[in-house]
Amino acid sequence: MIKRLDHLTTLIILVIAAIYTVNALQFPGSAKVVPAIFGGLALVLAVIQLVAPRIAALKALGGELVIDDERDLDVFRDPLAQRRLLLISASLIAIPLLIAIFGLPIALPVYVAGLLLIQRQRFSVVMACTALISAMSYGLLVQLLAWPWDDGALWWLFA
Amino acid sequence: MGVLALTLLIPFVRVILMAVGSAEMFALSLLGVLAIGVLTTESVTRGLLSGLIGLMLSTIGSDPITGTLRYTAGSIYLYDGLSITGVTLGLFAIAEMIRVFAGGKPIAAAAVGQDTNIMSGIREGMRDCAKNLRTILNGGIIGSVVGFLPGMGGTVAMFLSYGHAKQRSKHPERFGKGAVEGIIAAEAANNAKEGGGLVPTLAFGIPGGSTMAVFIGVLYIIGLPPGPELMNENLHMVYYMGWSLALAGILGSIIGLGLAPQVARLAKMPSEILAPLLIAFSIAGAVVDTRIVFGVYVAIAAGFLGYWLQLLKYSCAGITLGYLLGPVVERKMFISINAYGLDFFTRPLTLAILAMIVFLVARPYFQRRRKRRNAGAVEPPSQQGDAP
Repeated sequence: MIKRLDHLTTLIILVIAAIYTVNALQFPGSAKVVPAIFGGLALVLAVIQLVAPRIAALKALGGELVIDDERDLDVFRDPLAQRRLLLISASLIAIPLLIAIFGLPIALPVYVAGLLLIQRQRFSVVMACTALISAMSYGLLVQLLAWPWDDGALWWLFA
Repeated sequence: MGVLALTLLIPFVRVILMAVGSAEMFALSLLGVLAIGVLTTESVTRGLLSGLIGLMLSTIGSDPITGTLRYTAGSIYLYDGLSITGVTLGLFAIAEMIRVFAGGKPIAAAAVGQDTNIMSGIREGMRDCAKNLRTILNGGIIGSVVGFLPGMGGTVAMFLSYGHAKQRSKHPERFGKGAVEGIIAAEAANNAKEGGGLVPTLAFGIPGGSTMAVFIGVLYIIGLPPGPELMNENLHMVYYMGWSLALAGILGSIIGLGLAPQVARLAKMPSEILAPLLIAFSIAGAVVDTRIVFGVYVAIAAGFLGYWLQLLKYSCAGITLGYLLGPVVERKMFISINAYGLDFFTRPLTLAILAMIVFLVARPYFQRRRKRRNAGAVEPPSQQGDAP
């Protein structure tokens, strides 16, 4: 399965490089030169990576994926690892939403507390970690960077 | 090593800096990006693609020559390009936390339950350093040379030294899994680059990196403008700075040794607790340089990208270096074309550096041929049943 996903990723890189190069050619004057070179090279390399395993002369370039650590494959075989990957990915995607609702300084402790509670960690651990991140958030963001603590939609509603 | 480089190079600094022009800087930057990509992965195409992905990402924002907006999709947040902190934190910290969390084991799973004895740890660290003197020396030389070149920065020095150590190691497969040579190589280069960076900073007022740029500001404030005057009239001050740097390195090591056991405990924390904490720290770090929430989105996107590409054996170091050196490559290329025309490729030093890039790409062919030849030489006895 990972080999199929690898091919798919190379194809995606190829398509992105093609779109990138076509866009580059539309920039005025010298602004197009460097992106066109980078995009063109990426396009050629992506094609080589796709065909290299089938052509003996290109095999030395190592287009084929070699997994040297079996643990890397856990996410494809172990349902528990898949659930954990899904959980951490969903939590990361939720961060912008939390920031929009609570504002960045409060979203960070809420994120940590939420992710720990979902995993049913001990209450003392949840409290300790949330307190640590709250202190960091207040010290770094609110005090040092003068970030408003109430820049989320929730506080605008109350205001 | 950096301080030694500073002391030894000062008499020759003018000659060396005159030899390294914009054309050579262009070729060196390109070599840096592509070398790291290739040296940190098993596959040449993946390594080169990693460098190119970084270079492509670096073109987002306004063009450094004409100011034309490129790939911004009309968003004002992209006018200055992607946040460097966001990209770096995402590719390394967040991507690693996704991997560790999905794996369900602490970072140092093998060490859980073992006692962290500070004295034995210090002794072991010293023994490792003594065993890897050659790696330290090579890292020091790479750090000094890279630090000497304006605009290359410490990250470049560390990755180049790491890649070099991996290439020379008898066990390259251990790199990326806590190989001590990798840590020693990167740190040796990181420490040495400050001394190397002081050479162009003090001699010509050309900063070797962002820290050196701030340092030049400080020199002006205290009435010691860098340049030939400083070198001629206040040479003793230059040596003071060198010795201060050496002393700072020793003090830093003492403080680091004191804090090491506490930091080591972090690596034994369960991933379920460590990941949310480090992600929160990384997210806070992602807004420090730009002070806009957009940096958070960049870090999260880079985190997913880094996790996925690392799983497929692309080089995150190559992407980062490509991203950092992209603007240098572009700027130096245009300066070179304006100064020398397209003939800049034929300058001897530039040609030599470009030949190194070609060698780097062609190297697997030669290695494969050699392997096949060796296998051919070994095969017959085993076929005849001579193997024990």
